[in-house]
Amino acid sequence: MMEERDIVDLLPEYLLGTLDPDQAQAVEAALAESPALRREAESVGRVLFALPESLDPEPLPDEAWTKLQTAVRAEPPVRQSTVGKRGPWAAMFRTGLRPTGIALALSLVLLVVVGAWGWQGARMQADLANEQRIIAYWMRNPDLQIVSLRGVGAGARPGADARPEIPPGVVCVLPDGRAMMLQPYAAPGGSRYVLYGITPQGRVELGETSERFMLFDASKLIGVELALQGRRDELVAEARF
Amino acid sequence: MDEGVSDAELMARVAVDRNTRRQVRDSSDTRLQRPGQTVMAVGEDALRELLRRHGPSVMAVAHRMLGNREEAQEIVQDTFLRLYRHAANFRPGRASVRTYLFAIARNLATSQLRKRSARPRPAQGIDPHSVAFQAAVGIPDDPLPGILVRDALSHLEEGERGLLDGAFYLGFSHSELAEMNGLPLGTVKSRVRRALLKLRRLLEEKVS
Repeated sequence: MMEERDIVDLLPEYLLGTLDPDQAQAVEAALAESPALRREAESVGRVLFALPESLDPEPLPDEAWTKLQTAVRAEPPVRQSTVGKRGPWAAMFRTGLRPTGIALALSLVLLVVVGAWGWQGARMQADLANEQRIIAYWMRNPDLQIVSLRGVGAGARPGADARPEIPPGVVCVLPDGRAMMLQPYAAPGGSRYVLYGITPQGRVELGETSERFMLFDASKLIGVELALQGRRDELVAEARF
Repeated sequence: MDEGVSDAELMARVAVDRNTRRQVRDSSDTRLQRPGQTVMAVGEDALRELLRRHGPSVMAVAHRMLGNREEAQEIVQDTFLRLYRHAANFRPGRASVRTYLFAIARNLATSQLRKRSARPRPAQGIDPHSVAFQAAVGIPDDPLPGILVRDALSHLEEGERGLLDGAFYLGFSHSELAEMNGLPLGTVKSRVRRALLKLRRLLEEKVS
């Protein structure tokens, strides 16, 4: 059983529809039992749904009403009995269109194969879309400062082996110190980016990632350096704030 | 033509239109409808007036969430169509029509955002058509002026405002906001709570 304090913390997400079903159910059960919680939910809801009042209204296109009116008039009547009617699947089997056993087995095999391939593709697409969503979220902030990472090529450090240049990306920094390193590509060849922070006292490792972005705290840093896993002494990019 | 009528009364007319489309034979209240006017026409007039009053604000919410005018226009259309379909579920005195519209539009726009990110979520959360939602967000039929809300928002810290924006306009859960901002989940929850408490206090002070 969740504490009332925990329920109160969940109220904003509950009202905005972002809780998972179990938590939403727990909140509903708690609201059903507690008038105080219901008053709190009402109060939180009032504040949340007042947020849009801060936006300037935007004019609708001239045809907005005509389109809505057309859609409303096309709405089916409210009362529509479905007793005695059969759906399309039932009708199909009634007319004798039954797949054979072999055809059904082949369909299942094809479904599994295509499904696995499609799932893999869909998963990659979902990962990419999620990444884009995070980046877009950051880019919407008007106070975001963007600092270019400067590529450090093979000739920058004496003795370094020549290697393909990794296009440098950017570091995005917010006034409160939250920052994101963003590269055009994920780390090459199955490797990982290693990000270092530069402070007045020296260099600290901030973390590593195979993805093309990484979040970190830049509040005490004067710069960052980027290397690749396995070649930590060979920088690929750097930036000074 | 319906400018002096309350939102709740307009919703009632829309609900009547939705449920019964029949010819009105006469009317004893000329303020409410013109004699001979069909119920359907009365309902449409009411819906048109609601679109006039609240459509631009719903458009602003949708545009803010989606960043695209064409998509936002579709959201407005769908929002008012849903208002029409569920007019009978609306409980005047428990929620304002405006809040109801914002909630519908927000739900639709959030679904659109999630389609873009190709991350389907399980059905969850609260249905704006439900009595439970309307009980939870019941406010009087006179919404707060935008200038009060904007002023209250200006008192929030930048991080607090960003989290509220992410939660309300982008439909992110607290877990997602924590991931995107590199913050612990508890920190996100407490900042959102703090922001809402601050807003509540400021808005109550201004209204009183």
